[in-house]
Amino acid sequence: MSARDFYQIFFEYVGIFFILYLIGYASFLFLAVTVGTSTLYSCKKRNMLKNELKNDYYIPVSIIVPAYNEEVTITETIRSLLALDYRLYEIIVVDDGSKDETSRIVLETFKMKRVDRPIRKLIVCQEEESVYETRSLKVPLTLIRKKNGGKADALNMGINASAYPYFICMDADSVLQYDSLEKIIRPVLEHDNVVAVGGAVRPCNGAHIEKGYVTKYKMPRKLLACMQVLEYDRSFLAARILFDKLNGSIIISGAFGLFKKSTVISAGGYDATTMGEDMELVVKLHAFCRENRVPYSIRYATDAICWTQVPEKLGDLCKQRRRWHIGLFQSMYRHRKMFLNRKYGKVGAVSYLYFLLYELLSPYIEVFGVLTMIIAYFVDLINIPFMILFMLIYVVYSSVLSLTAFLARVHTIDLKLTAGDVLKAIGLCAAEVSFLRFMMAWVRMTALIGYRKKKKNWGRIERTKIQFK
Amino acid sequence: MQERGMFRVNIFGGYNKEDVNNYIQILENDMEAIKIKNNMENMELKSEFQKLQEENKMLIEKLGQCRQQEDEEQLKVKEGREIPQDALDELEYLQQENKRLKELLKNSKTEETNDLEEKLDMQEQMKQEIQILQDNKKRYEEEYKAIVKVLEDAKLSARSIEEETKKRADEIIANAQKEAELFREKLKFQIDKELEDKGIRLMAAKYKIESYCNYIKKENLYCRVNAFSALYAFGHPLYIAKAVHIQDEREEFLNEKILTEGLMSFDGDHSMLMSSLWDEMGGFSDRTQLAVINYIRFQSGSYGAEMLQIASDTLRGKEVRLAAMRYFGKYYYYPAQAFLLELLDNCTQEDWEYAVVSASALGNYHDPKSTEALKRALYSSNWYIRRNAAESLIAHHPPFKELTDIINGPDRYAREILMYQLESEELKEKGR
Repeated sequence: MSARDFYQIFFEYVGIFFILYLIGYASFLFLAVTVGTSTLYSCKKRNMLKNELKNDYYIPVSIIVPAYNEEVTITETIRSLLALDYRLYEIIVVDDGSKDETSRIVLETFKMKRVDRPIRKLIVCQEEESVYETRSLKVPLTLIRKKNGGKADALNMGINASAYPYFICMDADSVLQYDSLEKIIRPVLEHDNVVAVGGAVRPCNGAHIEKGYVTKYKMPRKLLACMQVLEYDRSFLAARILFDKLNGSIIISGAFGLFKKSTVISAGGYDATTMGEDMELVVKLHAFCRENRVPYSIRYATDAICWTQVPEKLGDLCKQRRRWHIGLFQSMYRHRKMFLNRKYGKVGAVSYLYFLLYELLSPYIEVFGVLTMIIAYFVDLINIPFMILFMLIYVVYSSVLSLTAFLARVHTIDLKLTAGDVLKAIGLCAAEVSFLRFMMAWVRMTALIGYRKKKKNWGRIERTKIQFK
Repeated sequence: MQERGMFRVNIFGGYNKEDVNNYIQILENDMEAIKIKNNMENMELKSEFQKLQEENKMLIEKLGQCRQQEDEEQLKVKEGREIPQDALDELEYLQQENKRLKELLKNSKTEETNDLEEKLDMQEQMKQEIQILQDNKKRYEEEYKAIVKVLEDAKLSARSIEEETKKRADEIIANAQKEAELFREKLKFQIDKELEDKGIRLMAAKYKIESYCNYIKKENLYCRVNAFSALYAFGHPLYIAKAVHIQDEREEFLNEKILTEGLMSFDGDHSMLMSSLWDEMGGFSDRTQLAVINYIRFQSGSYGAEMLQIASDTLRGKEVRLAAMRYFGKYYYYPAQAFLLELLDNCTQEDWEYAVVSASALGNYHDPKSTEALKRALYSSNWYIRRNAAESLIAHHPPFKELTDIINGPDRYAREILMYQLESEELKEKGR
C-alpha cells in the first residue's frame, strides 16, 4: 500500500466521520434552535395571556454571592439584589479571603455589624473568620469573611449559613433582572420534584439596567462582546432549552441558578476541588437522584434573566473558556460512569454523549479537521472548490441559526434593536462561526495543559463597574 | 294709647281686627262720655250765666229806678228850691247805696265773667280734645280701614294661594301618581330583567363552575390555577371545597403554596370557606391538608381545638402535624402549651422536627414553665432545636440575669446560639 493509498483511505474515513459528526451537530443545532425559538414564543404567548403564577406567598430563597476581589462591582451587585421584586429572601455575601477592599466596602456601604454567629457546617468548607449582619435593609444581608478556598468553597459556606430551603448561586459581577427570582422559582411551583433551576444568563455589555429593568438595549461596542452575545443565544440558550425538554440539563451557569438546599446538602454540595463547580454540581445532582431513586427534575427558566459581563478582551475570554473547559473535563471525567449507562437514562445517553462529542472533544475534533484539510491540501487530495463551498454552507447555516436564536430572543422579550445593531449582528455572526469558534477551539484544546495547578483559581477577568442605577 | 304695639299682629302683616275694633269702641265711649260731661257742664254754666244775667238785669233795673228816683228828687229840689233835710239825707244815702251797688255789680260782674271765661276756656279745651279725639278716631278709622283692606287682601291672597296650592298639589299628586305608575312599570321591568339576567347568569355561572371544575381536572398547571382563580372570584365556599377535592383526587401536582395563596384570595366569606374545607378535611391528601391548615393559620385564630387534635394525632402525616403545631406559634391557645412542652422535653431523636417546631411555637407562651423548658432545650444536641429555643427564649424578653447561667455556663453551643440571638434581636430592633 502506497502512502497515497493510505492517505486516501485515511481521508475517506475522516470524511465519513466528519459527515456523521456534522450531520449530528447540524441536526442538534437545528433542533435546538427550533425548539428554543418555539419555546420562547410559547413563553411570550403565555405571558401575553397573563398565564402567570403571581404569588404573594413566596417560597423563601437565600441568594449566595461568592466574592473574591470584587471591590469594583460588589456594591452595585448587592444594590441590584435589594431592588428585586420578591418578598421573602436573604442575601449572603461570602468573601473568599479577598485581597482587596471587598469586605470593607460592603461593611461601610451597608453599615453592617459584626455578630458571633455560629454556622452549622452541613457541607465541609473553610472556617469563617468573621460574620457581619444588618437588618435595616429590605431583606437581611449577611457578609461572611472566610479563608480563601475557591468559589465552590465560598458557595458551600453560603449554603451552610443560609436560612431558607432554596438557594440561588450567582456571580458577584452579575445583575439579576427585577423579576428574575419570581421567574426562577416558578418551575418549583409547577413541579414538586424540581431540585435545580437554571436561569438565562445574558451579556449585559451594551445594556442599560435601571432598578433591575433594562431601559435601553443595544449591541455592545466591542466586537468581541458582540460575537459572544450571538454565541450565548445559539449555544447556551437554544441548547439548554432542548436539554430542559429532556430533563437532561447538565449545566446550570454559576452566574444564576436555583437549587433545593436539602438535595444539594445530601449530594455533598459544591466540589471545591474542581474548576467547573457549577456543572459538577448539576451532574452530581443527576447522579445522586438517579442512584437514590429520588424523583427529580432539573429545569431551565428562559425568562429568569441574569445580566452578566462578558469579557471584552481576548485574553480574558481565553482565560474564561479555558476555565470552563477544564471544569467540563473534570465534571465529565468524575461522572464518567454515566456515559451510556441505562441507569442514568437520557442524561447518560443524550446529554453526556452530546457534551462529550460536541463540547469536550469538539476542539480536538475541529482542530483535527483543520489539520486534516491542510494535510489533504499538501497531498493534493482535496477538492478546493468543494471545500470552499462546504465551508460557506457551514458558515451560512450556522449564521442563520445564530441569527434566528438571537432575533427570537430579542423579539420575545420585547427588546428594541436599531437597524445598525441588526446589521452588526448579521455581519458578526459569520465572523463568530468562522474565526472566533476556531480560535476558541484552539484555546479549549490547550486548556487541559497544566490545569491541576489552577484548582483554586477564581479565573479572574477584568471587571468594569456595572451601570446599575 | 297710641302705641301700635298694643295690637296683636295679624298673620298676614296687619293689626288684629278685634284689637282695633275694641280700641275704637273704647275711644268712642270715651268721646261720648266727654260729650255728655261737656253738655252737662255747658248746661250748668248756661243756667248760672242766665241767673247772673237776670241778677244783673235786676240790679240794672234797680239802678235805673234809683237814678229815676234821684232825678225826680233833683227835679223836686229844682222845682221847690227848698229841699228838706230828710230828703237830702235820703239822697245821700241813696247815692252811697248806689255807689255800693255799682261796685258790687262791678265786682260781681268781674268774678262771674272770670268764671265764665275759665269755663269757656275749659269748654274750648274740651272742644279741642274732642277735635283731637275725633281726629284720632278718624285716623284710626282710616288705619282700621287700611288694616281691614290689608286683611281682606291677605284673605284674598291666602285664598288665591290656597287655591293655587291646591291646584299645584293636585297637579303634583297627579304627576306623582303618574310617575309612580311609570316607576312601578319600570321597576317591574327591571326586576323581571334582573331576574331573567340572574337566571341566565345563574345558569351561566353553574355552567362556568362546572367548566372550571373540569379545567381543574386538566394536566396543565396554568389551566388549573386559572380555573381556581375564577372559582375564588365566584365566592362560593362549597364549590371551592368541591374543586379542592377534585384537584386532590387528581395525580397532577399543585403546590400547596399556590393552593394556600389561592384560598386566601377567595372573595366570599372566609369563615364559611374554612368550615366547608374543614368538613372535607378527612378526605384530603396530606399535601392538601397542609395547604388548608396553612390557609386557616393565616385567616383565623379560632381553630385552636381542631389544630390541637390534628397535632396530637399520631396517625396523621408528619408535615400535617407540624403545620398544625405552627398554628400555636401564631395564636396563643392555652390547652396546647402542655402538649408543646411535652414534645420539646421528651421528643426522640427521630422525631426531632416536632421538638424544633415546639421550641419555635413556645415563643408565643410567655410564662415561667415555657421559659424553663426553652432554657433546657438550649442544651439539646440538635442544632435546630437549640436555634429555635434561643430565638423563642429571646422573644420572652427574660431579664439578663436569668440568662447568666447559660452565658457563663460550660455549654459553648448553648452560649453561642443565645449570644447570637441576642445580637440578632438587637440588630432587628435597630432595623425597625
